Amino acid sequence: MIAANPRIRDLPPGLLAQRFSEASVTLDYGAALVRVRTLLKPFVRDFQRVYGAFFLAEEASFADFHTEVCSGKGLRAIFGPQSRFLIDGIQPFDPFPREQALPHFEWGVNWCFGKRFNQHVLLHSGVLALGDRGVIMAAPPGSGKSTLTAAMMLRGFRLLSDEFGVLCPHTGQLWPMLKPVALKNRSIDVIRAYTDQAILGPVYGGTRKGDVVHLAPDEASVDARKLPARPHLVLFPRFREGAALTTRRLPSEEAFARLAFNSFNYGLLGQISFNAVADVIDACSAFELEYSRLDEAIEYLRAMLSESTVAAAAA
Amino acid sequence: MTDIAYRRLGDGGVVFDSKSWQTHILTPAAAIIFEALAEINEGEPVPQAQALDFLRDELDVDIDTPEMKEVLRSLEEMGILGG
Amino acid sequence: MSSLGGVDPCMHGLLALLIDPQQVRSVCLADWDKIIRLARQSRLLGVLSYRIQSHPELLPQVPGCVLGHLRSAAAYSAHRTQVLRVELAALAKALPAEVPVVVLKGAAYILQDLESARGRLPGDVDLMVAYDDLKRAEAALLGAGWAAEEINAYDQRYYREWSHELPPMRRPGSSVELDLHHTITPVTARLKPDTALLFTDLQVVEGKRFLVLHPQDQILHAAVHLFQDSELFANLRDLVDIDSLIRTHLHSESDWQALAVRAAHHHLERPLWYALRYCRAWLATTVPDALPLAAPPAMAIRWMDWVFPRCTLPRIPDRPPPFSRRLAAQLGLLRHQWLRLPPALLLRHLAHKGVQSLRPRPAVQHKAE
Repeated sequence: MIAANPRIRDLPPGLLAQRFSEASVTLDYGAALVRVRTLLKPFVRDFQRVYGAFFLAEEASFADFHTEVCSGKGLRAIFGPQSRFLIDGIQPFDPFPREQALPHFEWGVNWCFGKRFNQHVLLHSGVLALGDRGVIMAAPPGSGKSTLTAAMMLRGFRLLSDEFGVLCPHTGQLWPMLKPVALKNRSIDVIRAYTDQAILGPVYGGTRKGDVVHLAPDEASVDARKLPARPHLVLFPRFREGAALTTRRLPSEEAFARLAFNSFNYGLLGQISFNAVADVIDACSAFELEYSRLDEAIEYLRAMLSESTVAAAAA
Repeated sequence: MTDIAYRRLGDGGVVFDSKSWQTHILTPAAAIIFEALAEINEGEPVPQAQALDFLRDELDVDIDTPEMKEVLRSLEEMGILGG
Repeated sequence: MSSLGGVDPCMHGLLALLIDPQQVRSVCLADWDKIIRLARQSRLLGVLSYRIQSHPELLPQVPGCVLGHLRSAAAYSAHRTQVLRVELAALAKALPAEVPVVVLKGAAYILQDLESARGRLPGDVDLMVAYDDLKRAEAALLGAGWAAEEINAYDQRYYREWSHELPPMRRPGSSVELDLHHTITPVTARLKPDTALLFTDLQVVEGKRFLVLHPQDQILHAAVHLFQDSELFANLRDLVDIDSLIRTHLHSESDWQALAVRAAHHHLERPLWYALRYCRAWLATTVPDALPLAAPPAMAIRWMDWVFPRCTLPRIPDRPPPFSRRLAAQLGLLRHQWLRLPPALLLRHLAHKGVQSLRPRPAVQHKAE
């Protein structure tokens, strides 16, 4: 069925723009469906690039979120064209410059997940997998987590999420929440230098977080968006210039604390998230990883995720 | 005690107190004390003096270090230890 | 069912599910899409979730994506309820033990562990003390760290002189707003309940430091809040509260008779009459026919039948509201001001608000979250 449906990058731009204007674009992120309506041309152009591997969900009669990206209102809009993000008619934050409509939308969708998706524990982490064996990469901003996530996808790991690690408390599975990976400042050049295979969107300069570029999820990750993974490894990566690769096994209770308190809604979910995070820590070994060379870190993780190695490390 | 959910994780443990919705992280030493007190508490907070005697005499724990005072205060908050 | 003022057909679906969760069997996915949105707009998604999840045998009939939103709303409601419990515990510690303090509305439903509290998304904490205790209670709260929200001198005066509550207060770091009242309606309002009767029949909640209103006063308070002390806007949740309180508190013909008598005593027959009208029509509340309640004039009923559904029922916000809904909202606002303040004051209040609304306003907070 999917084969009959063209990827977004293969749609004629006019048709895509028309679908957007009719609010008949429903994006399947894996864990959630988001309906989008827009008339903004710069948004459609950038969207087609970074969501190129995705499909338009056909005849989706249900969406989790109903959003709109529209132009600014009033005098301000004439002097500086703007984009606004709406969810169910609510505008959660101030307008962006119109050329930055796509990062604005990405931010808006994150807001929707963060506020209205409490059926899952939302870990603040990247999640990747080999087969159904998932690695949860939790680390504070600035530790190089997004760079490592991007590089792992580019070396054949399946990307589930860059920002929202979606943990289902009922099944213990990790669900894809597959969005473009937001690369910031220095990591943009790192990924450009790393491979010429990366499909990158335009550089958005001077956003709240500095320069931002989006890395498009690859086809394999998109095609597996409905396949959850099992937590196998919890990793707290840290990039340090010139460092040799070192790992430190974390005591379970410390890993619990760092994973739980890094999550978006741990406190909100109470005992539900307590049990879910404890299950993850029970099932996984947890490590700190310090590295400077991406490929070295990635090969180490590949070995860690192969079953025998995980068992040996846990022994 | 029914308000308390406890999970042993490795050598340490974690506790969820559904009265306060607080999560407590127990280091291996704290986990041993927690489990020991939970064993003898019979659904009621263990009286402070009795618990301290037990910790000192049976487990050979130095109860006067700042870390131990912190652990005891947490246990009191959870209702494992009497006031 | 009385006319719902041309609302989305899925509004009927939402009401039908609130009345009878068994209806999940007949809801298609496209209707769920709208019902979830309508329920969220009216802050009723948690209540809907609770009512459906109380029937575990129905859950296999609910699509997984829908169940996700029901669980999400249940978790959010549980969290806010916990936050409110913590706040009540802090208040119990801060308020002098000898001052009788009454908990009103949502927080009272939680305190009494009523069916009405299940899945409900609680808002502020509303407390009531006798007028003579007001200064003492306020001083105790200020002493314990609560602080009044920053408001200008005009609003300060409005609250003190004409309202039935102090300017809202908040404990630093807490997300819960506290309103301290000395009666249940604005002092200037035309409908004045018998405050002495309210205080005479206060109920003790076992094991708690706080008191609550007499069960019948709880119903009357919810009715007067909806039909007098609100702008009628998107208030379906308040009607659901009233329906739920009726089902909890009224068990016999004599309970109903007593409610009607009490409404007359408090001069609150009108709001009760309207509340029962729409509860019966929209939420299938069983209301006895022969109640000693005087109906409003036919003209007033027709007016309310036009305004109330257009103001109260949520809508899918993909398009701007039709003219009739905007007009109804304006009328609801006008009526609210009219009922709260005598006409001379009304002019002053509207004029002042009018000037204020021309000034730039700070970014809107989104309470629905």
